[in-house]
Amino acid sequence: MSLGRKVRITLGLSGSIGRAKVVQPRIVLFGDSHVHAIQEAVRHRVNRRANVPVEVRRLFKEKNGKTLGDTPFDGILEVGASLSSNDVMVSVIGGNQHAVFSTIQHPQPFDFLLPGDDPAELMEGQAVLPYRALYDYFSSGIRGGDAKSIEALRASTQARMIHLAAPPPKGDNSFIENYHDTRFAEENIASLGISPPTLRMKFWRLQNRIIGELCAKIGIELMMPPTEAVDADGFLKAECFANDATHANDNYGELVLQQLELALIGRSRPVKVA
Amino acid sequence: MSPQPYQSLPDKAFWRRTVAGPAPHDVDPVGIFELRIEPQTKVATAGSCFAQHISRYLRKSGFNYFVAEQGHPILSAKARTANNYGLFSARFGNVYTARQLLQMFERAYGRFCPAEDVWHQAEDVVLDPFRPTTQPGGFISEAEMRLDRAQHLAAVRYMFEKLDVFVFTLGLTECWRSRSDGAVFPICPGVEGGQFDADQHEFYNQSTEDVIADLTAFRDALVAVNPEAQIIFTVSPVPLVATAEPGANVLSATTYSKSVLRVSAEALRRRFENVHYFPSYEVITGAFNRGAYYAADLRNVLEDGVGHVMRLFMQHATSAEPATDAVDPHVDQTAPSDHFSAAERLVEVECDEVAFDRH
Repeated sequence: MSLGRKVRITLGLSGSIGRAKVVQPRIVLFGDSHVHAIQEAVRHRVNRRANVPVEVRRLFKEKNGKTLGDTPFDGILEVGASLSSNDVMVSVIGGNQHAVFSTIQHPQPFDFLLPGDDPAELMEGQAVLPYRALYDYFSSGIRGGDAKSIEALRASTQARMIHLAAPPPKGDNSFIENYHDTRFAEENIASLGISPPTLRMKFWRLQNRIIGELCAKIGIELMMPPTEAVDADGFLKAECFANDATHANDNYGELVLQQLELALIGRSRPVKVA
Repeated sequence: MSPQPYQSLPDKAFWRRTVAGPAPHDVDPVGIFELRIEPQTKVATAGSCFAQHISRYLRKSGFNYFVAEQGHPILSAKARTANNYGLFSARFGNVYTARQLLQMFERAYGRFCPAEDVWHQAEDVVLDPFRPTTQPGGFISEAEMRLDRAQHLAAVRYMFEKLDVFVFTLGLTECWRSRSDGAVFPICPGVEGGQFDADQHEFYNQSTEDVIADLTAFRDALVAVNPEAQIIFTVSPVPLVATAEPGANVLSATTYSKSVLRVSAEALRRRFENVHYFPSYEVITGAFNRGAYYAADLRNVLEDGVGHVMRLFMQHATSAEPATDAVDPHVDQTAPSDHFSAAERLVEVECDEVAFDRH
């Protein structure tokens, strides 16, 4: 199985402007489970002999006798160190904290407001948590985990750095419920069901706010998911669903590749090499 | 011929035998205290900052410290503590005066709706004037503050209706109130939030008559919703940090304030069977300890002193066996943690499995 294979394809976009040789930036994308959709899209491109503008790596993990990914964290730091300031490191680190808080319906249903939200849209009859209490708690989890990895990656490289937000939540509860039947039974939480989509959307937005603030502080650009993958209410479109609660599929991965191409190659400024 | 009356009195009636003679940590100033707290007894607390120590000890002791507003269990216990859930039995912050206590009760039951009921600090920082420090960082909007306050006051009602014992630590007589409707604020407007306006706010130093009237009104209101409720009054030994009484010296103002509170507590104890007094004030301020229970600032109470108070409280008020079967659902904290762990496992499994081919 070649899913974990590193994909490094020279773009073949080198050229010249006048007498100067132009070199496109090296783009490295690294992350955890959300990388899978992009790896799949890359695999399809490779099969089609299409250009792949990005070197995609997934965090190597060993668990219960199985291995996942291809690049240990130390390895990606070495890659980061080898990049120049003309290159780009794309982080797809973490991104599932929102799902931990909002996939399974809590036994004590709750809701909250983000800054600017209309209180009329709160779910009726549910406890309302103060935003700042939730923010502090939620962000402490990110600070103690994914933020450290993102910061380490930032510190490792002089390359331009982008963090790609996790795919938005799925608005279709029955889709999630069908997938999770067995798991819910195992966890003895079948009776609880799935949280309302609006709550999942709020937690995803909260996560993006927190990650966005972190990124802004340490010089990382936050890139939102491709608009083509998102429906009118902000949820992931059904054609981009992977067969689980939180992940996207290869269609989504392809849209991400196109977005990166547009942002990083379409707009990149050629570099003159002596 | 009858013996002179002092001959038959117990040791606790005599200064030398009870105050000057014993080692300081053995001094016990408790006079009459007939209330007994059983492991299942739901004990709620409120009051000035010294009341926080009582809450802390009750919680640590394993007794049924009754918290009606625990904060949502999606937050960790640490996060709830950081947001002042559980500091007292509801998230009302410090309640310093008898008037503030009475008005809190009246606000909870919708009988008093103060005109000045929101403080806008910034576009996204809004405070509740009646608990301005309760939500760290403030609320993000007036709507959020009002929603939280509605939930809070519901919890306050629940607390008053379900508690068995209410421990209230009287802290101050001095306060600031609205000139328009008499609403008292826990902190002078402009100090921790809001804006001071001499046309709208005035200083008010409660008299003994006022405090007795307020505590009596509170006691009657509590009994109306919870006929079996017992009340323990204590007086905070923490001196005033500053006095606003015109011309007053802060030490003398402290003596006035604590004297009024002590007299009022005693007056209610004598008047009502369900009112009790516990002398934490005497333990900390008594000359027997030569000031040893105060920190270097002569204001904050050291842990030794709090320990002395609570040891006596446990000795006199409890059977000293912690609860093993506190069953009130508002006290249970296990289910939410289980929920969160299950959610984490679910997402973790999903993250691992996504590597295998699914479309």
